[in-house]
Amino acid sequence: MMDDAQRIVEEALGDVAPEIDPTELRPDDQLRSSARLDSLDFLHLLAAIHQRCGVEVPEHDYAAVATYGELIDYVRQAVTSHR
Amino acid sequence: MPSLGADMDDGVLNQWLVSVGDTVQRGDIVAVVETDKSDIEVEVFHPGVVRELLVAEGTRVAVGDPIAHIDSADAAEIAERPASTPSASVPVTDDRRAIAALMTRSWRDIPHFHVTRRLDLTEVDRALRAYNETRPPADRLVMAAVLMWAVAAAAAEVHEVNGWWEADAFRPASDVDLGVVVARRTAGIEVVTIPQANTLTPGALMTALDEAVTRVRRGRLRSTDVVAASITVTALGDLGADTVLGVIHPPQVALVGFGRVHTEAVVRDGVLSVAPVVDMSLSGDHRALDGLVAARFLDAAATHLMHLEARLHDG
Repeated sequence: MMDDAQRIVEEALGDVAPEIDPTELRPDDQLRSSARLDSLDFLHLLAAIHQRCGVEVPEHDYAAVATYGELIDYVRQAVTSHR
Repeated sequence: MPSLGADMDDGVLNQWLVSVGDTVQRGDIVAVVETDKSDIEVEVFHPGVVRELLVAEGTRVAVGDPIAHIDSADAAEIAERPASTPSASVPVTDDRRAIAALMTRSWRDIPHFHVTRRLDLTEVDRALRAYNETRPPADRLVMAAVLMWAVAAAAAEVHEVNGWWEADAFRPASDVDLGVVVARRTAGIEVVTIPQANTLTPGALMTALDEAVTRVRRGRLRSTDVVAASITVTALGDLGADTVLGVIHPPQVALVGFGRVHTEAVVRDGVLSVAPVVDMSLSGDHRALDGLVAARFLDAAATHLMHLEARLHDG
């Protein structure tokens, strides 16, 4: 079932890399290698997420959001604790 | 019609973005031109008032023919090209033939040599993290931009690597017009130029790089993106290669390559520790420069990186 966090990340990914089909991404896919995002794309992705829901992933948490699933989990937790 | 690439003879004026009577500022986009390779936005280089549009949309126009009249203090013509050499770099697109022709010419004509240096990025990484920690994602810097800033600063200093080999002689460039190899989202590469990169702070270079990459990925470049580069840099860091020994883009005389940033065991002050490192290479044209100059260039880049922290807070 798709929740808000997954929708936010999918939409942000669609802004940055429209050629990627999010339904083909698995939770353990690395964003940098599997989704082929370079460091600029990754920043754009974080900026798009920030714009959508106010969640700002600080640089010291980059290692915790390396995979697609980790990023969704991170956004979910941040949104939940924000409420 | 500005020349938007060395091999461009003409272009189709696809769209006017200004009308007669409009006031234009330096840097405004006034038209979109379709070339063999891509759509390119044409900028105006002097402020003024549009008096007359000389060609209709859809018209094919030869390079050098006027396309509009703009009244300004210095009576400059629209879309005059910034100073650069007409024989310089061909903008490479996903058209494999364009890449093949350029690389074949390079490998056939240029006696390449390579020097490399492993840079310890501990201090750079620390300074960058501190800078980014207090900023929202949209204002942060990436390592690639910082490395390119160091290349531009070093190329301005060791000017033997910055310029063009023409008619059996080296012609140095006055500024560092930095060519950057950018991967398209789908397939292939494109080279865009960051003009006068040596005059930019790390933050300004990040902005210029980000905007140029965005234009490549949108498939619509600007005329300043295809100014003849004086040196080119390729950073395949994100793709997992440790070391990149590149092929020079003639008539340039040097190409800088960066591999991936990764952690290695390094010895610092006699103590073994783990540090983020990157392997930097310079491919040189041995007709124009030698290994000593190349080594000086790598050393200059390393020195600039050591002083990054002070420059991060400039302007």
